[in-house]
Amino acid sequence: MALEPPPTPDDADDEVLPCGASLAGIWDAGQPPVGHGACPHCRAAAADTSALHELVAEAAAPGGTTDAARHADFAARVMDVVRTELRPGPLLPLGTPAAAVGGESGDPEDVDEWITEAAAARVLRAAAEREPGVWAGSCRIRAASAPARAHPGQRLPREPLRVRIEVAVASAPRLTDTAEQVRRRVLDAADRELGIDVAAVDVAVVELRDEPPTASPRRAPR
Amino acid sequence: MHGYAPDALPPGGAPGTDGQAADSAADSATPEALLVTRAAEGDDAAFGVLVRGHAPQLLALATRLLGSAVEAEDAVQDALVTAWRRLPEFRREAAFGTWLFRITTNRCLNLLRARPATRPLEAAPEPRMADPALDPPRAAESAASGRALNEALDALTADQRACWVLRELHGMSYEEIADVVGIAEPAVRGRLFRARRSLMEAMQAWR
Repeated sequence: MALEPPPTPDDADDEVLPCGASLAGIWDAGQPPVGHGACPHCRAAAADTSALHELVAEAAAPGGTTDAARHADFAARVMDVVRTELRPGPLLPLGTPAAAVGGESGDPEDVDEWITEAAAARVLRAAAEREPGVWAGSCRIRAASAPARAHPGQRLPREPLRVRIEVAVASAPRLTDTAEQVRRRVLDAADRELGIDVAAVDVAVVELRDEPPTASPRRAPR
Repeated sequence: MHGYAPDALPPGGAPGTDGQAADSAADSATPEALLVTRAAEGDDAAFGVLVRGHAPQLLALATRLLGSAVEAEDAVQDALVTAWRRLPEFRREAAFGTWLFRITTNRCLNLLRARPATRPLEAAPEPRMADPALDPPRAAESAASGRALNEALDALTADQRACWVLRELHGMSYEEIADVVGIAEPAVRGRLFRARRSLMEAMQAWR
């Protein structure tokens, strides 16, 4: 037809309809531009967009519960692979060196006990989260005398440790009270659950949340 | 004020016996930014929560990009394991979810670009998974249009396909698409236009 626009090369980024409207614009908006509501070219282009959207919606009809089960299986498989590549971090001295220390001939490190930073941090975060309205984030454990970051697998010196834990806190009347409770819970867990010698616990509140500080079931003592 | 009650600790709180309680501490109620930090520090349980939260969206993305649920699972698994490895270097210039989209899209684009131009019949895309017992006519219709759509998507270039899927199925802005695909915004517009033109032409044939 004479009114047909000239053929556009396949690599063009847009096409101008005979009425002057941008085809790319109509396809993007799904409707004719302002003032072109009655234009047959624009209406045809908008109708094509709707038809394509309908087809896509039809093709993407939800699969129901089968999807949820499949997603759960999938996530479990991914985590199986992830657990073959754990990042345990440096080793922290566990307990007291007892008889191992002072032996002149033996290497005390051969008989000492250690725990990875990642394993210890997990226990300390869980302890912090037993405080209602507290969520734990970063938890770093260093030698108190040498706060520089240790590399993975490195054994920290057998001396007191310093913990730095970041928490999100539900709005509480006094943040300092909450921080102090977190510190005490972390110290207690370090001593009773882990048996590591923690000299200091720094608590950093990195987020304030609006929810009320109620103990959710996930943190209920078992 | 909440009293501090050491007695409320789990019984037998010795090292090694508290693993379950500690695992359960990372859950979907924890703010995502904290989970990301924990995962970066090596907390695999926190990463598990993130994986469970993001997997459905990533699988939907990869399935549309690759046209196959099985290939999509492989691609997303690779992407998530890559994310776990790179997390210590993740600097949060983008949201965590966008970062996962970028890694997944890159993985899929590499697979698409490595494909032969014309796929052999055996490798034809599968219809999307649906349970025909639930609603046979709908499932059949859905499978047919799914197949037709996949065939039309297969005719696009990898970049066109990525731009179209991110825009139409994930509702991303041009800016987000440019970030995820790694091309400039005008290039996103161009690829989107060409993708739509091809799909509309293909659609005329099905109707």
